[in-house]
Amino acid sequence: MQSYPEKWGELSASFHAMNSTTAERDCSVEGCHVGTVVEVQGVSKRFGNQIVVRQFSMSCGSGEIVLVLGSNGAGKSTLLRMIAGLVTPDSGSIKVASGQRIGFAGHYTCLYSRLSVNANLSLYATLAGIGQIELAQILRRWQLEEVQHKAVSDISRGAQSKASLARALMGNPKLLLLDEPSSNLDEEATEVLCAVLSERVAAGSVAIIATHDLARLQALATRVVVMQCGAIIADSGLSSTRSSLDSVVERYRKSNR
Amino acid sequence: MGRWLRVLRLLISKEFAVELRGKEYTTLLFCTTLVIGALIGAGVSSAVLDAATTTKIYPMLVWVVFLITTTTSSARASETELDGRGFEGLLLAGVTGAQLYLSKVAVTTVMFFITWVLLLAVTSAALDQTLSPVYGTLLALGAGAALTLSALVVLVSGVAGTSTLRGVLMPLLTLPLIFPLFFAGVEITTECLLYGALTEGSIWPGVITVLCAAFLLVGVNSYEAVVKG
Repeated sequence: MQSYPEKWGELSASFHAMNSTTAERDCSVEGCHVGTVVEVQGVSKRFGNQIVVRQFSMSCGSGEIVLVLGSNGAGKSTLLRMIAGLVTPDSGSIKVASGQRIGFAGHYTCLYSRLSVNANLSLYATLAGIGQIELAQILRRWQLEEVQHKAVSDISRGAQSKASLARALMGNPKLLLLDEPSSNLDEEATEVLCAVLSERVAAGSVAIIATHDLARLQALATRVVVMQCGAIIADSGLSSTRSSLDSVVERYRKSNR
Repeated sequence: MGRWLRVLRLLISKEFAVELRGKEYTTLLFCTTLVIGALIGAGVSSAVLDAATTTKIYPMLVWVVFLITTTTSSARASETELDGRGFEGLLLAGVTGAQLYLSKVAVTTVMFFITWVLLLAVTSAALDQTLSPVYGTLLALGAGAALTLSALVVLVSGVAGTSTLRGVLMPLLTLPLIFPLFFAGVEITTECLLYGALTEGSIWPGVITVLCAAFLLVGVNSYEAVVKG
């Protein structure tokens, strides 16, 4: 068992106390509590001999933006992929409120590299029931108009990331799972990302974002979770105040210096 | 059901668009077939066999070339899904593994059928075989074989696609499973060429039908797990 650094002890304890409180809410619908969009209970995942995620529990309700922090290999990406249903956990349960669409943007673009940006996004727009006018607005908003007729493989990494995010956020998904969403984006595109996230969350979506880009995304966050060796070592808590959230982030920053 | 079929049609269009944009798979498949078909035709012609012997070995030659070229060329059949993980986005957008699988099978079947037609044209010309009286039966046989083979190849390419040895793995995994198709194909083609039609009560079309249904059933139910890895 990996031991946590001492400076995380207090936060870790407060997290466990709070988690037991949320578990007592009595309002279950379709396996998920009312208002809760995603509920992760005791999830673990092992690849070979390495435990990537261990006994992870967390529930998120509408209107939350949860930042998942942690160094490389902490298990953030695997956690997001498990919540998205792309990786099966070895133990534990993940419940997503029934009928909710999931918008997922990970390390891969999930786009067909030979097809044009427009063809790719048209495919997803059709699946999401979005018309051509709205698709044109999405392309404009993400500054993809100029490259829309180019193959995905022929555009820059930044433009690929924008197309991937446009795909993931299409059709107003209730649950957004974004893995390093701003890593290839310029300032302008990051502003678009923040604006879209704010709109979606105001409309009741939940965003769980694995990131190292605190400078850009911290201001949006309503909750911060820190992972180490696959486990939560700190959690600012549900509806945390700005000061408790900033305190967790500050401790995380210090531990990484 | 209507929406399910609309999504399937959309995915089939996407598959054709992806293939037409790159044409790598098509080029590899058709060129390999033409080259190997022509080489074998020229080789057998140079042996100066009599017409009866050539007719007897023709079905076996055609089926060996067809099965080897299609399986070896299909190592990259699932590559477009795995490269960029397009299937993950589609699955999260509500597409089912069965729809993904069937769309690939549909497109691969068309390509395999064209391959079959090309192969018949090249080998019949090279080996001086008259196929016109049984052309309809051979086309129907080709369509059934193309569907059966693509049902298997799409599934296996998902398994082999993540390996750097996929070029070797594809035929290794596929060839043992298509022996029944090979025997059935050779028998039907032989019956057509020797007797001018399928013999009454022939079991071989039934063998292909059962094989096709089995591969499709397995593929529809397991393709999602296969590509997820």
